[in-house]
Amino acid sequence: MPALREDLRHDLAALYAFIDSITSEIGSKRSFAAYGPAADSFFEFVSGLADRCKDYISGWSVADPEEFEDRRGELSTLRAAWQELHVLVKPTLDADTLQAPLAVVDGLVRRFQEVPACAGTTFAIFHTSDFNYAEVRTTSLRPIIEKFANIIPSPPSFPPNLGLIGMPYSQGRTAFANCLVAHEMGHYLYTRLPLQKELKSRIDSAVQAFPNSEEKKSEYRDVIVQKLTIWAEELFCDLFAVRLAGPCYTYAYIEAFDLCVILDWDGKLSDDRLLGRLEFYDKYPSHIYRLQQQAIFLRESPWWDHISNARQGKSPSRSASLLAQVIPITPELHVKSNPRHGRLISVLDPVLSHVRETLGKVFNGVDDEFASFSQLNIHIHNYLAAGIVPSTINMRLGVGKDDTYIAPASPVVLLNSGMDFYLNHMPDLITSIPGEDLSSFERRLHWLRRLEEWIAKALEDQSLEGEAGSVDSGALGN
Amino acid sequence: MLPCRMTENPDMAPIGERAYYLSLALDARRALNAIRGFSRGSEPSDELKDSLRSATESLRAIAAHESLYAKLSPEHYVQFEEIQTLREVSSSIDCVALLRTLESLLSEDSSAAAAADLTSARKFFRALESRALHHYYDPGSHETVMA
Repeated sequence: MPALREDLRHDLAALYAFIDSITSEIGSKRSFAAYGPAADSFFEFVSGLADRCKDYISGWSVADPEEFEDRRGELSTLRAAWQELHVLVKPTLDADTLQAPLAVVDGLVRRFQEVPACAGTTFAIFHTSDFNYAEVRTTSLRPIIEKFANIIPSPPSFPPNLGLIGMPYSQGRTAFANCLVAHEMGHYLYTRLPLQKELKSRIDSAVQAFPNSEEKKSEYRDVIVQKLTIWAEELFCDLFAVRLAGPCYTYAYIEAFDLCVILDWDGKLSDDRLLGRLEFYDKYPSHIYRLQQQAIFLRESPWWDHISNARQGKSPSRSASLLAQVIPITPELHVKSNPRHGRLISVLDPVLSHVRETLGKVFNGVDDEFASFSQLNIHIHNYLAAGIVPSTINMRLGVGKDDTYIAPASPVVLLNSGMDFYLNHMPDLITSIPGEDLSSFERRLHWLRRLEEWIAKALEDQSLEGEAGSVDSGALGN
Repeated sequence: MLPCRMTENPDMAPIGERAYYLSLALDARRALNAIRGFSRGSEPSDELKDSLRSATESLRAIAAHESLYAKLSPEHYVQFEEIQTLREVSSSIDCVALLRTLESLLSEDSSAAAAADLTSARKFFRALESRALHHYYDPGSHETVMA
């Protein structure tokens, strides 16, 4: 078998070199860049797995053509597994502590850890080249790693409670856009809940009631159930993000996907532009449908009075007005605008009520933070209007010298108050500064960056205070 | 391959999650490594029995034209991509004979399994591993790693 042996050695050397190129990259970048503990634990895991895998393949031999056939197939599968990890390593290395928006993400992770099912979870951040936030399915990665264990002797364990979240490489300095990370956290939780199984069962029952018998065939039914389950997961993650972060998530969503485009000159829905944006995608419901579900969810929450400015008697911001206007879009219009997916959309309604019910259980006992927001929002705005970082809010109880106390503002309060200021008071801030020009985009950008920095700094100060109070180094450990 | 009508109808176009194909390839590899050990005289391992059981139950359901995806049971391949790949592979083999083979390997006296049974099982899992890797390497599925 000398020829076969040499062929296998050649291919094994190529795999060995591929694995080595990944670990070399990790070693090289980590020698000068700093990472949080979550990213570090991921790199340690990958390096350990590489060592075990190289040891394993170094011991291979080929006794006969049957064994060659077997080992050759195994080599191919191992290479594919390393390609899977390869996708994640470089973007995670790129997101070192100088590049990632750690204060905002750290604040959201701290909030995430308040959800009973999510305590102890950490997230490593990586960069995506697309303008898209992404959660790597660690729930599918984890079993893959465990399946490695059935092949490679003594592999390291994948770090428990570790999630991997991607964000656009260009958004490191922003604060408000990164509220979208909350949706990706929803994906992390989703696969740890029995919800997917429950949804599939409900969707399958609904599909069985379809009049078209073709669609009831097992192959077709599987495809339809899969599509609806994927849509339902996206909607779950949207509503999870709203419940976790508050309306700042929805406002960031509106801006990221430019959804105010459906408003006309008078701020009313433009029929033409609306109708062109109701079509569902293969993997996602339309943005307008998703926004409508978020608006309905918010309307049922204490945040709605503030969003609609009902108590203050003021006009709502343009984004808030958009929220109110998408609510009445009828199910019939969604169905009519989706010749491909129309009858599938009709199944989503009952599915969504189960999603909302599940969210109620997930967040049972978790403060929605609206009471704190109501109390502190105006004070935070006053700080921001004066260019002061709202790390600690001094509240007055009476007229006496000592009648004050320091109120802590949580990440949810800071992000929502900051977003509220951004949507409603930026012109006031800019015009209050002598010499500033409201019509200059450059100056608007300058003050937007300042605002985001003040919010991020306040979040960072809180995290440091948390560190001082405990040996824990924060959710991301940065 | 998927039935033609499925791919022609956009409603029915399946969506592949790349990592699940790799997961299936690793499952098949686990079975193949266990078969290798078994054919060299080792006792049938738990890994082998688990792999055989998953494949047998899923093949039975496919043969009976049941909807698998909605059921999500640990006794079956649970992911849509796994089920579709199994359907593809099973469409080109004699399912009844294969089921008989896998059942004989699962039986109490599996140590007496014929060499032909092992060859047949090996062939099936190699086809499954190979098909799963084919889908995994589909350049169009790259972006589905993330969501």
